[in-house]
Amino acid sequence: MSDHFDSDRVNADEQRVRALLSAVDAPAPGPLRARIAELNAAPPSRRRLRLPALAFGGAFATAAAAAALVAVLTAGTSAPTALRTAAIALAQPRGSAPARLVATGTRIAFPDWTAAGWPSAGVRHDKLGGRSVTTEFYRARSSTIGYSIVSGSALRWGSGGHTVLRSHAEYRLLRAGGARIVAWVQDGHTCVIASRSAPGATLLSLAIEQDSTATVSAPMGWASPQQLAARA
Amino acid sequence: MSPRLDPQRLPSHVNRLYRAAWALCGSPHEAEDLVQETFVRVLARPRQLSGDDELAYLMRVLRNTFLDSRRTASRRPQVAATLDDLELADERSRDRPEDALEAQELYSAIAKLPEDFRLALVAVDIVGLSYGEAGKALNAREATITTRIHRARRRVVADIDGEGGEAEREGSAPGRRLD
Repeated sequence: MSDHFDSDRVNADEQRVRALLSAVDAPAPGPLRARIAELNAAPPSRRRLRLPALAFGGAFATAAAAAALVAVLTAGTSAPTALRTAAIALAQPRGSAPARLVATGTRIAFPDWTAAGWPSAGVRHDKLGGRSVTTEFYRARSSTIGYSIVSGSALRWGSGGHTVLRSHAEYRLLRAGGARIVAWVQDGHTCVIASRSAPGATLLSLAIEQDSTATVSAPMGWASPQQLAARA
Repeated sequence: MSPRLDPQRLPSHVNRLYRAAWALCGSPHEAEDLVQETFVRVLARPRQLSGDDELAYLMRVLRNTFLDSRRTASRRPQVAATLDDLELADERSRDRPEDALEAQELYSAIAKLPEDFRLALVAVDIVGLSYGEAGKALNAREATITTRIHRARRRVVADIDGEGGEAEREGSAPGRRLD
């Protein structure tokens, strides 16, 4: 390849690229700026340590900053998020589930949803950014649900979605790639339920039932997990 | 003695680093992770600038963090569903879909460049370093940076303006190292 460049074209290309870049408005998202500001404001000793757990909701950006910092420091590379965890929850099982499965690195036992119409359909174990991700799958008719629990402290949610409050607990609802995803924090760990086929209401209802920090009370007009499984 | 990096000045560089990270990764979501990790690394302890200015130093850390994350990603267990399957609509696309489309198109064109081209273009045209500073940050000779920049710009313009054949003749095969 020749190293000769037509100077007119070189200059034209430079102007064109710079014009394109200046025409595109791509500021850093607000939550990222908030996380950087939070990180910068922390004393140096705290930049390597877990920040105290913070309330979600109005302080979401701050809580995300803490969770993201922990995730980054733990992972050593790019931070795992609830969204990335959902990719695992949507994958295929690799083995059958034992009678009682406790998520690696946590004290959270996976529920037995057989009575609710969702018998176990298998398990898998993955690593995500240095974290252990334990996933149990449940199947009702043609629908499959993946429930992943991530070791270590809570992850950031990732972009998109919105948060709902149910019985004093926060649940992050996301839709991506045709899948519905519900994420929440239980016992300090990120939990994610995802499915490409089950309705979002089913996922949220199961999450509420599982989350020991939430009182199981479905919103008005919501069916029970058993009713929803029958419909799936 | 070399001056120390002033952490209080770093937030003023977030926008520029985010754009650089987006161009490197091709994804605004991965760019957020990359910028965040870059800042975690930089702020982990006091840093001497060793003759760099702040931006050149940040560019070097961003590049190292990006390359490390790429190496680590290649060693991770693969899952059946990937992040690409889960790509969410960019938050800004709800408010300004045209801007989001233009930005995505442009940064995707840059992200498709061979790595050496991409890093050179990001360092000079997005971060704003001189050719000499970019060479220092990327461990390459200034003349090499100049060549990479010219070819990178040619490819991006060709990609955006639909001149694919000409750009292919100008550049190398994707992924091939060029000096």
